[in-house]
Amino acid sequence: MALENEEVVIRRCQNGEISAFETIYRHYEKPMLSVAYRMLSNKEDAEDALQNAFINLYKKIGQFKFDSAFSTWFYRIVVNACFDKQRKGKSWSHVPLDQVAELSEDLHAEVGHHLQKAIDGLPPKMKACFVLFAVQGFKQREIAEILKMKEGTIKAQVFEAKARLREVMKDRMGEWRTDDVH
Amino acid sequence: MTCTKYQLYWDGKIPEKEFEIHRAKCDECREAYALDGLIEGEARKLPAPESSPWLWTRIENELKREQEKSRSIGLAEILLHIFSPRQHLIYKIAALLVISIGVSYLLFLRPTPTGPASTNFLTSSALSKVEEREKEYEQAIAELEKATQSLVANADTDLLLLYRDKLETIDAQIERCKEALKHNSADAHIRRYLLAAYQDKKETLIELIEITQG
Repeated sequence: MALENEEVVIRRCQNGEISAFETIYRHYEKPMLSVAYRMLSNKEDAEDALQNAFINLYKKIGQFKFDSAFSTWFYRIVVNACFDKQRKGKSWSHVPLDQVAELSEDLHAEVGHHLQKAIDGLPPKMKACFVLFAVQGFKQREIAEILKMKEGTIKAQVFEAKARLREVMKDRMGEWRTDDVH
Repeated sequence: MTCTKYQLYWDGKIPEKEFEIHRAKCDECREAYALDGLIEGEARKLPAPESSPWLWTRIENELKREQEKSRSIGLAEILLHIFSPRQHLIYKIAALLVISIGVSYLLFLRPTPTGPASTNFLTSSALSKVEEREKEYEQAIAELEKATQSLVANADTDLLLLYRDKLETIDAQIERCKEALKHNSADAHIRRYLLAAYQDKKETLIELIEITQG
């Protein structure tokens, strides 16, 4: 959902009004933190990335020309802040996918946990594509715009991510499905 | 996966109807398609964390710092321009005069604040109440920590490790608040965040005890 009076708020941001940045924060806090958390798998890192994203937003808001959707533009800033955080080190722990399948016993509640671990194991760009597509519900065209990649590349990355997740999750999901039916 | 039809369908190279007919006959594609549906459904349901109550304050402080930085860079650029060798002497003298008046005002003429304290700062009675409350939390947490010490130290299940991570995160937040309070112990925002962190820690420790007791 777009921010109410978006253009006015953005112009206030461009004039350096911190309260306008707070309006943006209040509106986008949840979805942006959710993306950052999915990409970094750690709340502290996700919050750091969001903070850095806001500093970049502050520095770049003057360049926003209203010729594209603000949300797409801002998502790009947040995703790039997550990539920076991953590059700087500790976040992309890379859980090897074959270890993920051994992690735990329970079924229903555990599926989400396994899935998160499996997503953590994806390479950063592929993870971003999958998170934006499957978790946040963006269209591939929008993801291409956010990540500044070709739509065909996004399609291939999402397909590959799904294939990898399928491989890890197939036994668990099978059990869960059977359990669900009975 | 040996069958390539699913990928062709995904790439938009075969129409949905054709893939549907194929899927009815091909176990591999049917299984992959169904699993993808389940995975995407689960992915959408993954819980997202709540942001820390002090996240906006942190961001706001950073933004103010950036604002100050850009202002001082702007001022430096103006000064460099005024005092550049190309400027006429009269402009330089005028600029010096303006700066000296400004500095004198700041040093000697600015009225000292006498009104009530900013609402962002606690009065001394409020501060002592908050400190009392913090002490209560600290005592309760110390007791609870004694009871959970070995559980946390020997955490060997995913669940206990998650709790340990959470407690470490809260401890880091408490430390950050305490560090910030060294500069201004009456800052109401930070005191509030410290109390929230204490409360969070206490509840987490209680939860941990309840879970391990079955």
